[in-house]
Amino acid sequence: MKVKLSSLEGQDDFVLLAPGFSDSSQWGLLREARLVEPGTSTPPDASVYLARYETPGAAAMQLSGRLERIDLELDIEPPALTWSLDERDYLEQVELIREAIAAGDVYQVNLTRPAWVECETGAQLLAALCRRGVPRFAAWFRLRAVWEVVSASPEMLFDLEGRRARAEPMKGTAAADQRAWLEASVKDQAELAMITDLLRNDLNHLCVPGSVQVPNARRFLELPYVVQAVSDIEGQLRAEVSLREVLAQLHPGGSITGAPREAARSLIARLEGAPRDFYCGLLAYQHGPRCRASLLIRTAQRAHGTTWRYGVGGGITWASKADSELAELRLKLGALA
Amino acid sequence: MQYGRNVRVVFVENHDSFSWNVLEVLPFERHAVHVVEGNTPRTLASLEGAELLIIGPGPMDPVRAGLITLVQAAAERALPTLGICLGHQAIGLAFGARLERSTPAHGKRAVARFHHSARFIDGDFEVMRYHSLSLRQVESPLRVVATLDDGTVMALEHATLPMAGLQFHPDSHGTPEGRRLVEAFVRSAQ
Repeated sequence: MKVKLSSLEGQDDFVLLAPGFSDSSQWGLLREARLVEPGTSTPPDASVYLARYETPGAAAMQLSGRLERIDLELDIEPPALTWSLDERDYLEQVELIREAIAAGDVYQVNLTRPAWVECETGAQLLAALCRRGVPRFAAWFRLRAVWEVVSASPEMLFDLEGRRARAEPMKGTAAADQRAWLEASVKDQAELAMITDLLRNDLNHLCVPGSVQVPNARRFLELPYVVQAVSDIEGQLRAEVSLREVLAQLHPGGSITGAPREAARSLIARLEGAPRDFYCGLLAYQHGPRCRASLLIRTAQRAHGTTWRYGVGGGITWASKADSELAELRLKLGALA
Repeated sequence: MQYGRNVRVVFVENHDSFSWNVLEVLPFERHAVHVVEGNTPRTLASLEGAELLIIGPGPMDPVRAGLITLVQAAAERALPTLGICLGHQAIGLAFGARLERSTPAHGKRAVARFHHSARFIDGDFEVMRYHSLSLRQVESPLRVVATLDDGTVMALEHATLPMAGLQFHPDSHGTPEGRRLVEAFVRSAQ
């Protein structure tokens, strides 16, 4: 079925998911999306799960509705976007985190900042984010006329296929022509190694002993505006582990908290001052025994009127230099350009 | 304690995000390991009947994490004890070593050289580090059995008690021989 992006303007209660959520050539469109009440006797065979950064994964919203597989026609002219990055206190906070690291209180903290973007509609924003190709986990949802989110996420939080679980944390960003620099960066290697161990920990909690492996400790993804490093971790879920338990353990994703997760999260709450909301949350598509979740980075949430809040962040470690971290945030704004 | 049968193992969890990796590297069935939170009224009580204690990694330092009395209680019982990272630092502090800030090394690999170890394995091993504090002035009854080339203490053993510590993470994907090192300790403590 062909659907024009423009036809979704003004619609409500839908979730639009890029082909990357299901390894198909088609987008998924969940219409008439509504909350599935817990304990529903016949669970829907296809669902979308959503959680804000602040929401425990076990309490993720489950949505079901009428699912269509569609060929999406991007029939909207991408607008030129303008944005402003809120850099207030950023440099001081990087130093505060480094002091906490020196004291042994935390190993890495993902510090984020909002950028404020002007754009009239979600369709226009999605068209802009897809201008140079559809991001793997592009998505747009609008629910209950209050929550509207457009995502250009390249990051997979997890993928389940029956009992097989995979995670693909992303840590390390460089300008698109700086892959060799990123490959050699000891600081970025350390950041990713740390989050790889954190995801191993999460999977070890859920998986058959001895089944968790790291087939790739580091590989590179080339996006139109940056190059990124990811690792691959996989394991075999124990028979009794439910999807809710997977959500509870893996959300919020280690790459956007830091390590240890608990200490990093309390520092984030203290420093950032405002909720991240759906930014850094999760969006998952489940169909039968398959469930794939993206981490909602490179994501904008409508704040008020035509103003959207687009978060950008990076892992702060002892080796962080505040001005380079700020430069990395600006690189991540490149998804909007 | 006999290696190979069900040993009553206590693992002290210190709010870390690597604890389940440590459990995975222990040579015991998971159901044999009793996991207790560090620094609660129940932590010390859990030593009752324990045959092996693993003090896990975690943030902060051993004093603020409330681990010194735990090490002292384990020593009084001559309980075989392996400290990892924060746990290693706790053993050091409990027996008179100093703990100081060093260059933070989180997610960084290095080569630990084991020498004259009674409880691990001698040799050079690639290890993953997650620490910003390091033990200094490690003296009798403890002795240093592994260091980096710059002298940073990577492992220690007690001269008479079955207690030892690893500053690095044997549980990390960046420590290929971690399981062997942990197994060596468990065998030595039989």
